[in-house]
Amino acid sequence: MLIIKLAWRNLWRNKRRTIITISSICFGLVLALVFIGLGDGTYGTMIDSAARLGSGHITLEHPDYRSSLLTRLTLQSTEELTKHFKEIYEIEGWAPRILGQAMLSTSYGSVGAAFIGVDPEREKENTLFIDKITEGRYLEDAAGRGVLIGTKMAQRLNVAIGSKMVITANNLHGEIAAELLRVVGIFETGSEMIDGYICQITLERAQALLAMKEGEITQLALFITNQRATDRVIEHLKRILADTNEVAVLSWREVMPELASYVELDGTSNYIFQIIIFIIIAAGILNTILMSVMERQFEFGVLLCLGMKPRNLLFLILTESMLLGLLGITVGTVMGLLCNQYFTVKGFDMTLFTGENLDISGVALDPILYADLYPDHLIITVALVFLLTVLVGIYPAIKATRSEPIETLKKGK
Amino acid sequence: MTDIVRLEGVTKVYQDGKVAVPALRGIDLALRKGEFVAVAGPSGSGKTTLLNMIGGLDKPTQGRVYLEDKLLSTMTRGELSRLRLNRIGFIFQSYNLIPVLTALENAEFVLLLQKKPAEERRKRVVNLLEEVGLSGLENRFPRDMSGGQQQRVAIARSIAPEPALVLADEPTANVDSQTASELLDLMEQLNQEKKVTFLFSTHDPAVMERSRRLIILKDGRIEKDTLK
Repeated sequence: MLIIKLAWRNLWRNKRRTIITISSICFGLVLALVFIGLGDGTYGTMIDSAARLGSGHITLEHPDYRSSLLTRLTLQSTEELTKHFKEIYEIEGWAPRILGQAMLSTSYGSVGAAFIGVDPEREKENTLFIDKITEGRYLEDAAGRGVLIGTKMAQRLNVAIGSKMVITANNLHGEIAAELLRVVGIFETGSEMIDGYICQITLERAQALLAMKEGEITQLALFITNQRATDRVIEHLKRILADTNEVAVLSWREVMPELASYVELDGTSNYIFQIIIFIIIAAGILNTILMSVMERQFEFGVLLCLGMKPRNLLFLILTESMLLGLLGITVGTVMGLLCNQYFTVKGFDMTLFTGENLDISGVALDPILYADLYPDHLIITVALVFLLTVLVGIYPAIKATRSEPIETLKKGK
Repeated sequence: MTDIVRLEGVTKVYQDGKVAVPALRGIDLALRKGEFVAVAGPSGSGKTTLLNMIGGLDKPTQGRVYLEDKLLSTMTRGELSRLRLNRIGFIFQSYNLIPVLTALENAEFVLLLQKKPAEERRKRVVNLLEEVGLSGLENRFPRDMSGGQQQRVAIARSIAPEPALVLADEPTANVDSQTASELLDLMEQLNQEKKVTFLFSTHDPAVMERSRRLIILKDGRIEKDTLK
């Protein structure tokens, strides 16, 4: 208690210096929390966007499909699988999909495309394509011949709403099959790849094209409430499906490895940037504490003279560092959370830098980035800053206690 | 009376670059319990060095220093620290109170280091502050006290752990003569009531006058040792 009382009062002997030091800790922490919050929010948005425009947060498919992408590697019965989804509260929706490669042809020309056969009713609850429709409407009739294409594809094929086109693909028997389609909707995601290459048709149309049986699909796309729960849900699903070896449970990381790599790389570089900022701030704190220790050499000599143990003197200086750190991180955390809350609600407008279209790693994003600071990132960052503040106190503390009392008394004089 | 302090052939030589500077030369000295001793001499005569030797703050180049029959030169840093804590009180020329502690907290500081129970601590220190004439000033900080008041707190701090010996390095140097006289009255009273041995280093004739034993140092040697 004596040490804490002394340390606390020592901090306020030079109020200005203490406030400046606390402010620098606070500033560093706020900067870190805002960057990390925006990063977490952006990554979350990217992953959700990619999942809802792609194969979901979690994908169930044939175990060999991912390595070969052969259309004939299908899931036969989804009822057995989907009945378990109710047990997992994080799963907010699921959608059956059929995937394939095809040619889309009009009188104007032909283009290669990737088609996704979808259940329109299921998709309406989960997909982002509906929000991206700029002309026409989404697919409605499950048995219909409607097709949803991107703006770039529409331009390349010179089609509009109502235009006819033919989709041609190899079916499961290896035969070339074709179906007539009519454009019902045109979307624009902002991603060149999606807008120029992907199209959606109904599940039934895809099954007819590929000569699949009723209920046969390529994959089940699962959508979860928070993408951070992906691994937990996958573990749960694997336990439930342990008896079957006919289905692979994949996370978005495995289905979209480029996105996963980007998130990891960008996240790492973000942390490196934060560490550099922290080191710069730590240098400032070290200077402050060292100055404070050097100024009080004589006083330390008196304390040692009176009988204070050197290790208690060490604890005193470390406690001063800790209290400095605690004050800094308390104020910094509050301000950092407030800033994050602002950016969570209002967002950070990137249009000044990127224009209206923001495409990161093939994922089209709203150019207004929203923060979403994860609790564990908050704890790690705050703990790191606190630890750093304490660590920089070690050298001055050891320096103060190494001298003999008589030497510090002489130096102080 | 028993010897509290005994020095046998104590010599201290400092190295100032390549030059060896002898601060003490062959000092033989014994202090008894309850003595009120002043060590005087010109600057550089070795007064402070002598006090540092006795206080366990420095070690002799040659010779032996005993405090209550314990040989100081064989003690570890920790043992010396405990010795200073429990058996020696210090009074400095510049008071050297801890600026962020009140008068009461300064006075009880050593008792806190000794981990004395709170009630015992407070009772002893409140009585001591009253004895040194600082009743009512317990919650004042050093910055709000005069030099004389600060030195009284320092005296209370030195006496509080009931040490065997109080070492006072020019305790009246930074106060006026009236205050110096009052401080000497106080220290004399404590010496007589509590039988604590006082050893002063001083230039002050008033302190020399009031001491009951006067040791004159010159060039590191005891020139005169007079019992009054």
